[in-house]
Amino acid sequence: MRPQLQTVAQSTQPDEEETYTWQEGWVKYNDTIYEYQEDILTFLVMGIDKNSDVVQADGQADGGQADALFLVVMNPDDKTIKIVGINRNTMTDIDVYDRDGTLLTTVTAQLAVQHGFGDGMEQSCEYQRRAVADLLYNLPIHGYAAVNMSAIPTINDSVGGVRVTVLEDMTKINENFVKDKPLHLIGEEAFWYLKYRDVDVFGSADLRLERQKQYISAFVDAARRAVKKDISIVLDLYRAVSSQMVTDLSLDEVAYLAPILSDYRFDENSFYTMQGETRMGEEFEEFYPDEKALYEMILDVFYKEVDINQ
Amino acid sequence: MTYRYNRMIKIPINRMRLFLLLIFAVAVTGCASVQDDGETSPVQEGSDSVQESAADTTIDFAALQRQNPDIFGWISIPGTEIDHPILQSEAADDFYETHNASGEADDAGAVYIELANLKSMCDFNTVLHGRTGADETGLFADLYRFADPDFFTDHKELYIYLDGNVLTYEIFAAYERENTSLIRSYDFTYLAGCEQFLDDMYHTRDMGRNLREGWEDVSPYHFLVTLTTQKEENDDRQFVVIAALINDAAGTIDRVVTE
Repeated sequence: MRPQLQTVAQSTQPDEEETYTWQEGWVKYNDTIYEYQEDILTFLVMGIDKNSDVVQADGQADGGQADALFLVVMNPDDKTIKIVGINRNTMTDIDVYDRDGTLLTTVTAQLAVQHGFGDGMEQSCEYQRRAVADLLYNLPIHGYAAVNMSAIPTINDSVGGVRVTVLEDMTKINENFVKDKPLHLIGEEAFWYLKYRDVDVFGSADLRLERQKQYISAFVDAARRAVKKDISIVLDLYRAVSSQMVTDLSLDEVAYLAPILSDYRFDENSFYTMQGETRMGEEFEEFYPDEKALYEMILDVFYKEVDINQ
Repeated sequence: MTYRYNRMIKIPINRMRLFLLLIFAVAVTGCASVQDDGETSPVQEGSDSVQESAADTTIDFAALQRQNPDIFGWISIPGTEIDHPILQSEAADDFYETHNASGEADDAGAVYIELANLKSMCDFNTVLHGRTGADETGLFADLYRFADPDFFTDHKELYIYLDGNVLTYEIFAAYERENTSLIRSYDFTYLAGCEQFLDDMYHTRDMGRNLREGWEDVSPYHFLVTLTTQKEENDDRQFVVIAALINDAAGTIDRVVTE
């Protein structure tokens, strides 16, 4: 017969075999305990698909889609920068708002459309930040920058252009974009290299993500070299693109973060992407993340093992 | 369209008899284990103003209700400090957020349910609230211990005492979620609301979520309790411990599930 007094009395005693006290925020996975690395700074970078200066949208769902989504992860403990590419087509919870910003409902849709349910400015960015954080297990995101794709040539040229080897045949849009050809991207070329997507090809968003991944790695490399030479280019760049960008990072904060770019380690292994499967939906492609892989990637990038013997 | 719910939980007859005997004994004797002068009853830690405990497996509801008629149940989680009366205020949903079990203004609050829930515990999901104060004290502070996978594994059961019944629940989930009202977010009176809750529960993205093996298929035909608490310094998140009814001693738990 339960409950029994004896059972109750015994089980209130502390467990003797427990050699550690469970701490808030710890996570146990495959018998290993992990903790979130509190010092990490995570920024969401959004490439917005609106080829003009950032202007406030008047009405719902036209704040522009976040075509490219990346997290820049700065870890002061091991002095590394990591970048996490997030598939824009990831099917997730999207909050639908009306013109007044009243939440109407929550639907499952592509992650990138969340930005559109705002004003195209800070509100859109906050919505997108929340959607990304929710997808990534309520991950803290410390700041954001939403950059119109139109700003790409300016950004690209500020670090003296970016060198890539063309990943796929794109001679349809530029005769220089021949597969495997080494290229020094300057100006508009960088824009098209990042933006082009053959909508007739299934999985073309994944191909583009590969190109974006390649470009960003090369860009970070070029930027590190440029910043080492002259740190003021970061501030010049901030000013130059400010009309095509929405960010909650102030010029001061950017000035504080800029030296990190050259001090911290970043290589081709520092880029993480989501594993999963792209399927054709009724109208658009849908990406279904591999939940286990996603969980493990978050552990890998944002957590560290806890040494319980300490 | 409504379906009559067939009780899924079969109670062993001998256990049932024992419980009925117990309840009978309580009814006849008025449960003498709690003295009015309180000399033998354990005194609650913190600001619990009501002197009673489930440690002796009995609760004197007549005495409790003389103290405060809003007391209708008692929750006890073996292995934790959680051993408290459950209240419901007709004045305001959150009255016991700021009043203790005696009804006196007290920041420690009391364990309570909102008006949308039935005191009979016959809802699909009865949501119990309790506070976690500073220094990790408070009526429901021990819920956070269920974040530890080992503690979660070792502590399965919780009991809810009603006047004339003892309900046994198995704790099957513990995780952190957005600090929104479950009662306002889901309509538990309809099948769709229950299904939505379960769907969200199973798909919740919390790195530290604990889910007990064998509880992957909870349905709207279960009877759940969800215990919620928050930390003051992190009030946009709430911690929930969810349990399902596995034993209904007096056989009073039933409900019609509406589609």
